Order: sequence, then C-alpha cells, then structure tokens
Amino acid sequence: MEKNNISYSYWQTVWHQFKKNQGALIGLCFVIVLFAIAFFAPFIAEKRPFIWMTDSGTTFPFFKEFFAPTEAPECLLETSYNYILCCLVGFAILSFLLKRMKKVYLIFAVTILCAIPFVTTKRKFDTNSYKQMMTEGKGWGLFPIIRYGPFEQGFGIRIPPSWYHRQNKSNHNYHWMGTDKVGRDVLTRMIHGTRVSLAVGVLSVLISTIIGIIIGAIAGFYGGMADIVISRMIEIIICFPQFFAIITVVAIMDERSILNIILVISLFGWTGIARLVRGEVLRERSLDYVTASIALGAKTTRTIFRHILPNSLSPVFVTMTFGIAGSILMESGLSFLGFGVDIPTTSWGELLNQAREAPQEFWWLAIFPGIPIFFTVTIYNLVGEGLRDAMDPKLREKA
Amino acid sequence: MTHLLEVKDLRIQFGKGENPVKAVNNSNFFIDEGKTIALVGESGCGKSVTGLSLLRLIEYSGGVITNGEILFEDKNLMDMTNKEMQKIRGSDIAMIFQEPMTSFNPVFTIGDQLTEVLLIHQQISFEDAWLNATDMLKEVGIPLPEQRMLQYPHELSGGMKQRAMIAMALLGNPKLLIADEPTTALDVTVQAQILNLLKNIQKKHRTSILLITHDLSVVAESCERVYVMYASKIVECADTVSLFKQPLHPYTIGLFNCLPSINRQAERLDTIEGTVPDPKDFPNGCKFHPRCKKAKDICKTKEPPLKEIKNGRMCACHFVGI
Repeated sequence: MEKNNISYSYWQTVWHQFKKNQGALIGLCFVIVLFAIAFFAPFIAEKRPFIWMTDSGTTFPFFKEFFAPTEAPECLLETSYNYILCCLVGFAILSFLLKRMKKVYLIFAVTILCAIPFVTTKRKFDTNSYKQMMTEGKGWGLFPIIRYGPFEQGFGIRIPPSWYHRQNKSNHNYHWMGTDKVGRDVLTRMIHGTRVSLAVGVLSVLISTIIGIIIGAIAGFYGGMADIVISRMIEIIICFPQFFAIITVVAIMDERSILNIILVISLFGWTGIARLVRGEVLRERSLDYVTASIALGAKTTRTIFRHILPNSLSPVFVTMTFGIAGSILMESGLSFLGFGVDIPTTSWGELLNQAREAPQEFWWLAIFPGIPIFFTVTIYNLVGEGLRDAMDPKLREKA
Repeated sequence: MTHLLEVKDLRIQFGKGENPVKAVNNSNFFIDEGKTIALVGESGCGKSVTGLSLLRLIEYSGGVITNGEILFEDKNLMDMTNKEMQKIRGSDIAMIFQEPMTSFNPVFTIGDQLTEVLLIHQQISFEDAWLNATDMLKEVGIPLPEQRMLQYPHELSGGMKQRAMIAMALLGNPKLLIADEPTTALDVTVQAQILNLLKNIQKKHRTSILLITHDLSVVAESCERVYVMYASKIVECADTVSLFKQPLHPYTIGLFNCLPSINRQAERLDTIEGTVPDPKDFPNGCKFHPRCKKAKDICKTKEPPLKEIKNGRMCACHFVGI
C-alpha cells in the first residue's frame, strides 16, 4: 500500500499536533512520572524490608503488607493501587513476551491471576521494627530507598530536614524533608500522599464527567421540557459557591473517607461538563448524519452514545484535564482547612495544615508539600492547554 | 391492486399554538413496486418534509404529523411504535440524504458505518458484514472498495461519498428508497452517474424510488410519475411524458418556462414573479394566486381542489379541465 493511502484516525491527528507543543509534552511526561510515583509509592518509601533474613528463615514482610494492607486507614485505596500496579506489570510482561497483546482472554487471565495474592494473603498486623532489629544484628533485610513508613512515628517530635540541622549523627534516621508534629517522615508522607491526591483528582473528575455527559446528552438530545428542567437545575447548582458548599457538606459528614470526599467533589463538579455536552449535542443533533443514523434504524441510545457523543467529547477531554487540576487543588484546600480526608491518611494539604501553626518555624512543612501541589496543578494545566490546541482545527493551521 | 406505499391526507405542522407552520397540507400520493416517482417543487414547499415523514423522522426535527395515513404494504406506519419503526427504517425503507458531506459521521471509517446497518438489522458476524459492505461498495462503482472501507469520510470526494451513502442505504435491501435531492450537491457529470446507478439498482433489486428534487431535468431522465408541490400542497400530478408535453397548472407552466431551451431565442429566461409565500401566513384561496398570471377573483377566495382531469392526471386549478 502506498504511503499516502494510510488514514489517520482522529486521535492520531491529535497526538501528532500535541507532540509539537513542547510545554504540553513536558507536562505529559511529568504526569506519567507522578502516576509512577503514586503506583510505586510503597516501593520507594516503606519501613518494612522486601526480604528479611534471620537464622530461623526468610520472610517477605513488605509483600505481606503490600497484598493485605493493615496499617493504612484507607485499605481499599491502597489495595486498588497495588492491584492495578500488579496488573500493569503483568500486562507489560505479557506484551513483552508476546509482542502484541490482542487476545482478550489473556488480559482477563492476567487480571484474575493478579487478584490471587490479594485474596489469599491474610491480614495480620506486623508490629516488628525491622530497622531496630537490623541494627541490633538480629537479621538482615533489603529495604526500600527511604526506610520510613507513612505512619511510622520516629521520635514523636518535629525534626527539621537532616541536611539543615542534624541532631543525631548516626547513619539512620536521615530525614530529607524533616518530620511532622508526631515525627512522621515528610518525604514518605508526600510520596504516599500522591496516591490520595491523584485518586481524588482523577476519580472525582471521572465521576462528574460521567454524570455530566449523561445529563447533558439527555438535555441536548431530547430538548423541550427535559432541557428546561435540567438547565434550570444546573443554573441553581452553579449559583452555590462551590468551595463553600463542599465544605458545608463535608463538615456535616460523619466519616470523611476518600470515597466520600471524591463523591462530594464530583457531585458539585458535573454542571460545567453537562452544560458543555448539552451545547455540543444540540449542535450535532441537527446535522445530517444523526438523522441518517436514525433513518438506518439505530436506536435512540445508540444514536446518542455512538454517533453524537464521540463528536462532542473533545472539549470535554480538555475540561477534564483542567478539572483534575481543580479537584487536586480542591482536595488540598479542604485538607488544609482541616476538612479533608480523616487523619492519619496522608495528603499534601494535610501536611500544609500542620505548618499553619508556625510557618516560619516549621518552614519545611510549608514549602515541601506546597511544591507538589503547585507542580501538579501546573503540569495538568499545561497538558490541558496542549490538548485544547491540538484538538482545535483553527489553531492547528498555525502550528 | 394495492400500492407499495400510499399516503393519504398527510398533514404536517411545525410548532404549536395559534399560528403553527403548516409544512404539508393534505398530500395524497402512492408508489408502486419497482417504480420511480418524483416530488418536485421549490425550496421550502414541503417536499423534504414529506420525505422525512415517511420514515417518521420528522418527529426528530420538531415536526408533528397531525393527520393522515402512511400505508406501507397495507400497514399504517402512523400506528407503529418506535420499536417497530426502528425495524422498518433502514431495512424496508431507506433514505439517501441531500448532503453527502455531512451525512457521514466524521469520526468513524466508511466501513464502520456501513457494517453498522447490517449489524443492527441482521444476525450477522462482523466479518461477514464487512465483506457484504465491501461488495456493496463495489456494486455502486467505487474503485478499491477494500481500501475505502478503512478511510474516513473526509478522505472521499463528494461523488464517492454519495455512492457510499447509496451503498449504505441499499445494504438493508430496502423495498423503498427515499432519495432526498441525491444529486443537488454534485456536479453534472457525477449527477448523471448517480442517476444511472440508481436506475441500474432499481432494475436489479426491484426497488421503488421516491425522488425528491427541484431539478426538472433529473425528473425527465429517471421518473415515471411526477407530483408537483407548491406551498405545502400537491398542485399537479401526471406521468412524466404528458407533464413534459403539456403542463397544466400555471405553476408548472411557469417552472417549464424557467428552463433554458435551445429552440427559443430568448435573451432573458422567464421567471415566476414574486416569492414562495411564508408558510406561517399563506394567502387565502389558491396559494399561487399572488404570482399567477391567470388569477381571477375566484382564486382569491376559493381554494381549488385537486381534481382528476383524465386517467390519473390531476391538477388543482379553477381554470383547468373545465
């Protein structure tokens, strides 16, 4: 086949344009890095060794905790992250071995296979302090790079970064970013906090997008009474100042788990996307191909979801990337004000909150968690901007 | 003998309230199996609306069929539920649209959209549907159909897209094909090819065709029977030969005078004076009277009924056939 006969799909074209935008490309790289940090968090920072060898035998305390988290209050979140990581590694190995992953049942098999250790490993709280045992010479272990767990309370006091002010000259207890008020390593908590922040950002936007798409599509396609009712409802919800409404709802909640926070943020966030989808669907439905698909006997749902939506989703994707940045900021703001995820679960905003008491004295608690928040919001905005430019055919000509 | 499709007293209006837009008023026509009929008229006279209403698609554009029967193989489409209609659309009655440029979904390949029709209506595997669709593309005269199946609509030319559109409509093996100005967006050579294609397909599959057009030369080339519409009403109906030999209604006569003719040495073409009346505010009496050269007082007050002149020829004018 000749070269100019190759057809480019829409996404290939978008990717081609996206690549030309350097800022967006750098942003995308950092987004990938962020996700890698979130998924590999326990491998980077954890107090338990991968392998623990003593005279009585070899054990794997790290993996026991990895497959059946006991320490973290948000077990579900930790387990899902770990499980997805396992599956991703499985897919990577599979695609490397088979070169091309095409068979659906292979993917299915990997997902089932990865679930086995999570189901079989028993939840047992492991109270051993392996680091102390190692210094006492009771055994030998292979530790992650940072030897602190996110909930490990060292001395129980705030310690400034070790390179700035060193109290204990021993080789252990080196805190790159100091510790918080109960002596937990800030760097470790920040790495583990990536999990919370990204989960809140991505999931809340995903949920609000799904709600927004369905409601917006109904309003746009059916018009009339449905449109009037939905549009007025959206306007009423938009009237509430979003941040304060969320604070109010969160404040009266009994349990501020991550899932609840995500749900509250997404319940207030769908209106923008619903409006966007409504407008796009309204424009698309008058086009001939929609009538043509109905004329060919397609059901209404098929027409909406298969024909209209793919044509009206590109602005939604752009809004989604900006939305993730917004949600992360929102979650940090909530945690900063003390309305975030219940302590001791880590999140960037919660660390900032600790600096509030005396930010000049405890400067490491203000600066270090502030950086990733700023950084994440910036890169998501960069990616969103790049995506917007790549999807806009008018801007495409200039690039 | 019953007809394949018979439309009785069809009335369509847009909008509710005191002053709705009456797009079609008391239309009656029929189509026999394997025949082609044409619906001719100016823009906005209600011919496209009539075409859409046969599949009850007009409901999706905000129109309402207020009266009448649409009998397809003696079943009234007006009584059918939405589900029953979905079965008929695309399999028994299919439609070709005016604008090939916008009638394909831009985000899917031609192949995806063609196979979709088969997957909706028939119990068929994706591979078989793909092969059938490729064959149909070949039948409508598209070169390299295997390659075209993988291309996106914007990569095809207008004529090619219209052929693909026809292929898509034919995939369900319909008994009736509604062609809404299928050649309007195309240049004349492609027009002729498309009309020939429709004729050949008609011979092969014994499909009936309802051709909606404003172009009398297209009518002369391909139809057996013509209905002329003016301002929401059918004003004349005749078989093609007698209509071209002797148009009866003043509007039809006017239409023919508008065509350039090589026999006449006219410097300017004739026109029909005035414009099509606003469908919200039709004139009383005969709707054509403000533009009619023969109009008398009776035309302003009494609307002429569509009456039969002789063997199937009908005309709605006070001064014809007396």
